[in-house]
Amino acid sequence: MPSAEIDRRQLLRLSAGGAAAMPFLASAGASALASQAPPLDPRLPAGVATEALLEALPGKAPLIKLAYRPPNYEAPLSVFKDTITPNDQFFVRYHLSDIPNVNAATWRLAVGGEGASTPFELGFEDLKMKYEPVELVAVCQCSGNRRGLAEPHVAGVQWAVGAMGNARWKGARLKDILDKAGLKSEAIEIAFDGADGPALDTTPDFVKSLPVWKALDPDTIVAYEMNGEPLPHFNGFPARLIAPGWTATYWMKHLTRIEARTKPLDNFWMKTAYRVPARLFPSTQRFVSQESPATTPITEIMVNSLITSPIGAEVKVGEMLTIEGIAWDAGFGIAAVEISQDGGKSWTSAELGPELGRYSFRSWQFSLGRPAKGNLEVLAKATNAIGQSQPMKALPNPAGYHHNAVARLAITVA
Amino acid sequence: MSPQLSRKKARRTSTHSALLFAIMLAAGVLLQVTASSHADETDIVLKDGKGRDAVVNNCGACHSLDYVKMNSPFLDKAGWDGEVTKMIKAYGAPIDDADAKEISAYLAANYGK
Ligand code: HEC
Repeated sequence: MPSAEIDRRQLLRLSAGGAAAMPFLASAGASALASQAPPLDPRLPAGVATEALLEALPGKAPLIKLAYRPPNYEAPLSVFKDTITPNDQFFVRYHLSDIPNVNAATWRLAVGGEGASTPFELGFEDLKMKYEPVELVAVCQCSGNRRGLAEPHVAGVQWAVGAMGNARWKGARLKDILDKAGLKSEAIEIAFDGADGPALDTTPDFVKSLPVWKALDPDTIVAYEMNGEPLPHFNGFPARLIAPGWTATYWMKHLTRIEARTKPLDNFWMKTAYRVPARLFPSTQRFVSQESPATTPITEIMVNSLITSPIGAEVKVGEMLTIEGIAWDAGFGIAAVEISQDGGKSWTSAELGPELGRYSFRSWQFSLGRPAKGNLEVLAKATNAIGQSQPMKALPNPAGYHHNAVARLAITVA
Repeated sequence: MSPQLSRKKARRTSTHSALLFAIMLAAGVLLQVTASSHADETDIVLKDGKGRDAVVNNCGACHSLDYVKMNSPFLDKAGWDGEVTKMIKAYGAPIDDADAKEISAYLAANYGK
């Protein structure tokens, strides 16, 4: 038995008054573990299984805990049966562990930088009252969602499929805020800082930038509501950036500072992290001021899909079976989802559900009728409005970003 | 520039709870037994072996040690060397050479492929 566990128990005996404490610990520990083991994808590194638990952060429903500190919790597959992800089941992702509780009454957002001629500060009421509110549904997906399924495995938070969510966001257009700050023509990037910071100040603070063109997109907003409620603390209260169509690394939480820059932001999180090999992915949206010959910053989400039902791999013979799922992309729109039952040789269109907006999850379903007894494998592949679709295998890259291989589900009909 | 930034800094100096936590864990004095069945990072157990203490003392300052365990067992010795170097060079982990060597040897032996 590992020694830390022994230390812990010995200590307990010493500190909690002897053997009487032992049964309590044993039973509490055992039941907690039994009820907390989440369903895990067998393709994940084996080490994930020793650490992952279903655990609720304050104000959240139980999610799959990958790391306690900083909190990194993903949504179980069952969450995606709803096209809109409930706030309490929305995934949680932080790089840095010094995370303050922000008080909306005293919160200030500083807007300025060399590229702004009239810097100013605003409070929470200003954000809500002084700007035209806009609402849109958009997928927030971690760049490294499904990293844990990468072949070969790469280091990082070992996410399965749940480091994403889809919500209706309400907020002020970033463009309107930047207009008030008098954006200069020399401004090339807009940088964002949040209230969270590193545990040790030798670690680079998490600050990210967007190219000006994306910052001025009328769909880029500073959101103060998520699904009609204030943002949960762990999803960025009181306000976070929504950069629809782009991966969540740009969606700065607990916003405190917006900086118009005349020079490219030069920090670890821009220059080293969140980069993909140049031309590996069929991205069309560029971040030119941050590109280098070998790598580019990750930008828009790649077209993707997920099978959400059935979840169990066993179904009863003679019963009608409908495959359900979701598909999404960077906002070009989902044109089709196709299903294959022969390993990808032939494909048949699934039926698309209602459209909630171009950046949203789109539900889909496909009836398999009453499948015959035996094993089958169902593949799902989404295609977007500009003709991009999912590769059969994820494209390997050093940090395991943009995992968008066709969705697969093995089913036993018995 | 903004009050938030200076507050962030101020807070940083006062909340080295993580570091404190690592030290307490290493010294074996951290123990929370409550009626709650909530698991927490004190439940994380690393395999026994030479170098384990160096990991506990050095690698829990900025994040919980589940970061180490979930990233196993697919890194080889060079992979773990690279991770330890990244922690020092990119994230500013204050770890001396001797500890760094001991840590990556331990990780490769116990959490390597
Ligand atoms: C100075 C702070 C600090 C210390 C000390 C530290 N780390 Fe990290 N570590 C980080 C940060 C920041 C991340 C990125 C977290 C994220 O993005 O979720 C990280 C991530 C990781 C990861 C995930 C893979 C990756 O590269 O992002 C592993 C594994 C890891 N650390 C291992 C270690 C080990 C082993 C030690 C002890 C030698 C250590 N860390 C000490 C800051 C630190």
